[in-house]
Amino acid sequence: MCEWQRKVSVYLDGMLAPDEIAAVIAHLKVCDECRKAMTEWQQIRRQFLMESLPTSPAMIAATLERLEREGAFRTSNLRSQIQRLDLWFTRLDIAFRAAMAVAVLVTLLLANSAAPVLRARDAFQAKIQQAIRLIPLIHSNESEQVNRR
Amino acid sequence: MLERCRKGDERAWAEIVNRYWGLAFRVAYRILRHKEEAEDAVQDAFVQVYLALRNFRHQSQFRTWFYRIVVNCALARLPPSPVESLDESQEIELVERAHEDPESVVLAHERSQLLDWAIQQLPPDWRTVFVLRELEGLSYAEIAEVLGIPIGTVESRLFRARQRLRQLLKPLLSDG
Repeated sequence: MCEWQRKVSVYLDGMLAPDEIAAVIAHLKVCDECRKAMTEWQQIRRQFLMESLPTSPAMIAATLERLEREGAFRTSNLRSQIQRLDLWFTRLDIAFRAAMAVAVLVTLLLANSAAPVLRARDAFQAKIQQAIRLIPLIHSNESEQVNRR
Repeated sequence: MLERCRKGDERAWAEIVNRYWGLAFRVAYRILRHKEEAEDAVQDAFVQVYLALRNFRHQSQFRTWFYRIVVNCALARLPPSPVESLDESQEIELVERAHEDPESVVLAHERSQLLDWAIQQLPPDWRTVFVLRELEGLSYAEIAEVLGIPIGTVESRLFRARQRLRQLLKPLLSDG
């Protein structure tokens, strides 16, 4: 191994003293081994940086929950107020849905209980209509009897 | 913001966690190479921050102090010996396939497996310096402060880590 490689490693990081930089650059021009080493270190860095990390937003939420459990903070007033409001909205929503269900049920019950009345009304109306249709017949019969006399 | 965190302000904590969670996970995952362990190490680190925040006196930057906590939490979860390293036959197979055609034959998953395996071959001290310098971009002075070691030791560990990884990942690098 070339004895300059350690300096090349520091040069790669930009941590070399200014007076040594020119010497390393001059060495790199003539040393294949050091140039190859530097290129490969850069490739290795790229390989690791190319990797995707298996993160998800749920992990951040889990960290905050852990901190809350450890007592780092108490749920703020604002958050608890929002939670209370949310609870009330949930309750109102449930109440509204229940009221709607009751209304539908009552309507159905009323519709069923009114059915005999409606049927009687329809029958009564039909009889009236029938009676009205018979009136001209009765009237014409009476006229014929009068003419015969 | 740190003062607000000390007072138990939930929003300040949410801000700190949102700002530093990514950094913490990157470091922990790259040291541990295990998703669940890294997630637990990150949670441990934030709890450590909470417990130690009273004693933090701004003598060092919060970022450097935080790196130190994350590294310590990650190293504490590192098994005494590599538990998920490849066995010899798997290693030979991966290296042979990589050698055949590093660009197309080795799939991303296998490449990642090879990187996992290679970094797990490094001693934790070298691995930590490598992660902080190469992947986090910290200066030698910052790494020295995070790990509490001299700058010369940082330089030496980094050089050894680079050389070792060069040997281990040679098949991936042979294409130039």
